[in-house]
Amino acid sequence: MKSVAIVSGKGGTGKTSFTAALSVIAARKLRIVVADCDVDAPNLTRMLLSGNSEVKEEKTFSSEKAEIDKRLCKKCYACINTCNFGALRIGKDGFPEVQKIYCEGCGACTLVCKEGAIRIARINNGKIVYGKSKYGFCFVGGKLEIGESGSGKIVAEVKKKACEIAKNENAELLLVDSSPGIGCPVIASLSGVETAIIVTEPSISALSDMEKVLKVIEHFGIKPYTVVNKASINPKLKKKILEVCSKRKIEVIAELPFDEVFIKSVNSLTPLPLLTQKYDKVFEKILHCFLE
Amino acid sequence: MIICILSGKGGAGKTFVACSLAKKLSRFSKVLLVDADVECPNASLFFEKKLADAKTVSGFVPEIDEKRCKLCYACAKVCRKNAIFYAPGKVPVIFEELCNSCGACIIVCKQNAIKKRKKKIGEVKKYEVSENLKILEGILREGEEEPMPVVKELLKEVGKISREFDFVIIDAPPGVKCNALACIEACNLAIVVAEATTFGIADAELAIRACELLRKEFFIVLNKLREENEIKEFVKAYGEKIVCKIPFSTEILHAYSAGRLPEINEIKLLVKKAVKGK
Repeated sequence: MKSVAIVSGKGGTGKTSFTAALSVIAARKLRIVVADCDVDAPNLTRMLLSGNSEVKEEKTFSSEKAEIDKRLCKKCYACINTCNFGALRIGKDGFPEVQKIYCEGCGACTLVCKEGAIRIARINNGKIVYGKSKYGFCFVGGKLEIGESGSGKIVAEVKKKACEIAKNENAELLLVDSSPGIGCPVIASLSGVETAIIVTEPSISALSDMEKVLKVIEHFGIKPYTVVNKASINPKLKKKILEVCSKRKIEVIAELPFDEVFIKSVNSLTPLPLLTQKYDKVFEKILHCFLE
Repeated sequence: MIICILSGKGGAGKTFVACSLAKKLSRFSKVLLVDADVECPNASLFFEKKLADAKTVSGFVPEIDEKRCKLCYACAKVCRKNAIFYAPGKVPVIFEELCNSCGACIIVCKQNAIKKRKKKIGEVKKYEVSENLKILEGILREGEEEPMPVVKELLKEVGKISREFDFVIIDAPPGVKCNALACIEACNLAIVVAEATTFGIADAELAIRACELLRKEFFIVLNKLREENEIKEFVKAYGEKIVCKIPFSTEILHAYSAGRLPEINEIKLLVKKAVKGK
């Protein structure tokens, strides 16, 4: 099975609309599984599973946080001095208080607490969802609870489920829609795939971010391709992107213009090929490129 | 006055709003623009600036002194990141990429065989745009997983110098995970930039919930507005919270893609709101 991650660095370049369209076109010819790994803003899930009543859900417990038992605590504050994440502070009642946003659940505090007043508890930090999309292929997505950490771990669970389903279905292709950025969830999205498509746009921000995400992709030895989306918004910068790609020997496998039909696709939660056939050939060509 | 700009969705227009607001406010007051999207910081691209200061953000990785190690493997057993691997009879091996520098292994090692080795994970840069406008930018090093230590270092720096400024504008990272929440927590007022699309609205609602969770006052900017019909339920639900509506415009798109900040009237409404809030 081939596996491809769709990344961008910058948000809003069109990763999700692109992945939705590519999925629908790919599913016409291949057995595919699609994974939404943007667990912070799971919009592909919104699009592909909207109106689907047979969606299964599983809670994830991939976050761990310290919990202090005030009955045992002697207020020695050893925990506060030990925490390398600044996640403990003195609360209003004088007891140490865990700031959940910062706690990594590492357990260092439990090691220094002589009273045994701290334990590490598993926290429900999100969920994964899966089912068959309206368009015939299997789909897995995830959602992180607001303010939680461990998005990389949920991404890993989404991908694990996707691989499991892919194996059962004997799938030929796995498509992974990543989150923006270059951190933990993006690295988790890239882990184990052999190909990455960078969806970029001709803007100075997207160009700068493309180079950052490219460094990460190359760091992990993954083969990158580029798609220039909204190519018509700035011809000068489009040229620049093509130059950067050519210099780094990265194949630009498609250029898509700025077209209102993409907005319509997002707003109606309908993948592009169901609204217009004019880009079908472009997506078929993209598929062909990395399936070769 | 510390204002945090967030959105949930990437590409909704956070950086555009943050930069435009900072630029406008800096005409009559002292402004610090903080780029907390440390994975992909872009705010400084929109200004002519001079680098004034750069600080390395370091974490540490543990290093095992083979001579001292008695092969008890307490370090490997305590590590919740599974970053310490051991084979019986051999000195444990540390996988730097998995380590989050918590220090638990150092605490449990009775032989004192584990030491800290410094490791660069990012940078905090300070730029000078004008007498009135400075930029503080956090940058995560490529290949590093965890942006939070850089965000924290950045916010610490903000805490140190925020008194020198009338306004601090924080351009938050997309999403609503812990690093975005740390930015919201640091502010007095949050501005949620909602891209006026089905995706944008859904993600903006997450950002709004994050503000409510942290009990922060917030208001909403609708960006790239085409037809209000598409998002009428959102507009109905948050009526008075929506303080400005920026229409979709190819002129803005073109200018912004090239690194320019076009002057738009809607930003004036935001400036008024910010000044009033102060």
